[in-house]
Amino acid sequence: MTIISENPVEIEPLGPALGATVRGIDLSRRLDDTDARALRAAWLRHGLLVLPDQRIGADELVAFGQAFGRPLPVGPAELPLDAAHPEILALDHRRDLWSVASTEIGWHREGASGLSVPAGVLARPVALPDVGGDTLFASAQAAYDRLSDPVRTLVDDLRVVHPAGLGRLAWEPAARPGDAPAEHPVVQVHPETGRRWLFVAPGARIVDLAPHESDEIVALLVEEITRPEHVLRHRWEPGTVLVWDNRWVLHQNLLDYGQQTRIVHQVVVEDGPWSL
Amino acid sequence: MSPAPRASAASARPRASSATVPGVDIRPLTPAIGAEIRGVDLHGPLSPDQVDTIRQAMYRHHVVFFPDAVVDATEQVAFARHFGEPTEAHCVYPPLDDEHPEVFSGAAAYARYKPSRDVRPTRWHTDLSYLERPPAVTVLNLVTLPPLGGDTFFASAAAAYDALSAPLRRFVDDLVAIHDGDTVGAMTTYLHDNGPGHWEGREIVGFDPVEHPVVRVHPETGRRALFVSPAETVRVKDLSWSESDAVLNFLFRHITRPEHTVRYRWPRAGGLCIWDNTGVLHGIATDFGSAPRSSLRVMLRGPRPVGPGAAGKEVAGKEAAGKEAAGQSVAGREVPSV
Repeated sequence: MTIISENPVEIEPLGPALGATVRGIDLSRRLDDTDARALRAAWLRHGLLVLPDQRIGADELVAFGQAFGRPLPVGPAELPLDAAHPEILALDHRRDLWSVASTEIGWHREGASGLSVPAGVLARPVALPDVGGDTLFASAQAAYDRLSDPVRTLVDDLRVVHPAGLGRLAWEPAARPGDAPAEHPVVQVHPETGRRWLFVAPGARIVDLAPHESDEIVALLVEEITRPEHVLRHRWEPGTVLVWDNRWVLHQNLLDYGQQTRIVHQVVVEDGPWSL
Repeated sequence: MSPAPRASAASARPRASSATVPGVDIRPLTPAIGAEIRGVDLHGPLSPDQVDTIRQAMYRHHVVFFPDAVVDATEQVAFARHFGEPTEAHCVYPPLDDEHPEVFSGAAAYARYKPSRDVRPTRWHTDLSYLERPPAVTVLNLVTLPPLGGDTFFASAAAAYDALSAPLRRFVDDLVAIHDGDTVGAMTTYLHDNGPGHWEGREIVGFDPVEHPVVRVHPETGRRALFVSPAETVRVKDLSWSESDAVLNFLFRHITRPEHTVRYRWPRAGGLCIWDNTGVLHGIATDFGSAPRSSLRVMLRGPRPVGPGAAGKEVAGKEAAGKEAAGQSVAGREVPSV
């Protein structure tokens, strides 16, 4: 299915669960209101937008983020790209392998341990390996929709914490290493679409259950979230910019590229006032 | 659950039994499950007090062992009759011999039939849970033991239920599971090759899946227990396959946590035990190679398992509806493929 707006913005779904390719937008120029609204609507609906063939730099990535929320400075334990770009984190997972939390390596959301979880994540590749380094995305919305009634009833009342990793902290300005992770409902409702999703990831702990029970139920839910039907695998190309909804889309970066270099610039936005 | 006392024989005696039957010594083996009883002569008839003491000990400890009891098949049947009506020896396999239609012997059953694979009951299971009315009680008599190994494991599915957190108790209280005799051992092949078995006076030629509540309310004590087992339970109704696999595997692992189990090393001369099949899973350790190990089993008739819905729970309406649906689909069918 292809939707064509008044402007020549093409939004082509990549699968039933999540993802869409967006063409006909040039991020090197300022977005007009119509395009920004179309992009935001597509982001809410598809969870992950893939914008190929963009020739942009760090400034434009931050500016693009403003269509989805307020770009946040990098977390308190991170160093930004440079003084002019406090919102940009240059991710080099191979370099960071021994310094980032293990949850960074598997399925995760950004800042899930915090009181408020960032609404969106934007990313653009700066250096890519010849092959490998794909990123997987999974829809926790499709997983919730697919649950049976008994399991839905079980999880509706549960609360969960995502322990903070060693390196990736919550995005709150007040967050400090060692802060207790914030409690959240396992089932969350999207403030704009009303759709529900499962707020769990590997390593999450359901506070209403015994530890071994929590391990089992989290494993069950992660298994549902990461079923092949709910997962999209993105193969990076130079110039492709991504933006995803960090609330209901989990991601995982594959570290399968040996000693090659892979650097991705990332911007995280919080929900709230978004500017066109 | 009130944990059973440990330590000395004196403190280990449940009040009711030690007071009423002098000389009967009941020693718990773990807080959750298992006790040994000494001081009862199983060669002759039991007194009503003795029967009551043993029955209460079985309800409290789920499985009780008589380490001093070396009895034959006839004495075992007589002992079992104190506690209920024996079933057929098995619903598929023939009995020990014509004089003992109530006694199942694996050695006798397999003497004229060599399964192509190992069908010894090594997986955790509940005896014949794939029938609509599984036996309520099992009396097992270890006759021949290997020089080393061949222990029996027992797990209390009641202790396991009690140990669940409240959200998961509520979750499992409403579930119904499907048990399937086709998945157990080589029974279907045996029926095909040897003709029908018998259960409750009717012929058995095969198995249809049977629905039972995941939580079973004990017909005598009212205590709740998980009623699923790796060998017989194939699916939780109304869950997707992947959810069902995850939930069942969780429950199997949970039931068989060390805290809920006892491992019994049989006396060299053999021994007898009686367990409450409504809330006990068991399995044997196959660590004895080709050494001989044989047992005689007598089971007692039991009712159709009942879930918490019929016991008058808070959300009685919803549960009763679920139970009714489960009961209808079972009732709408004859006993396993007559």
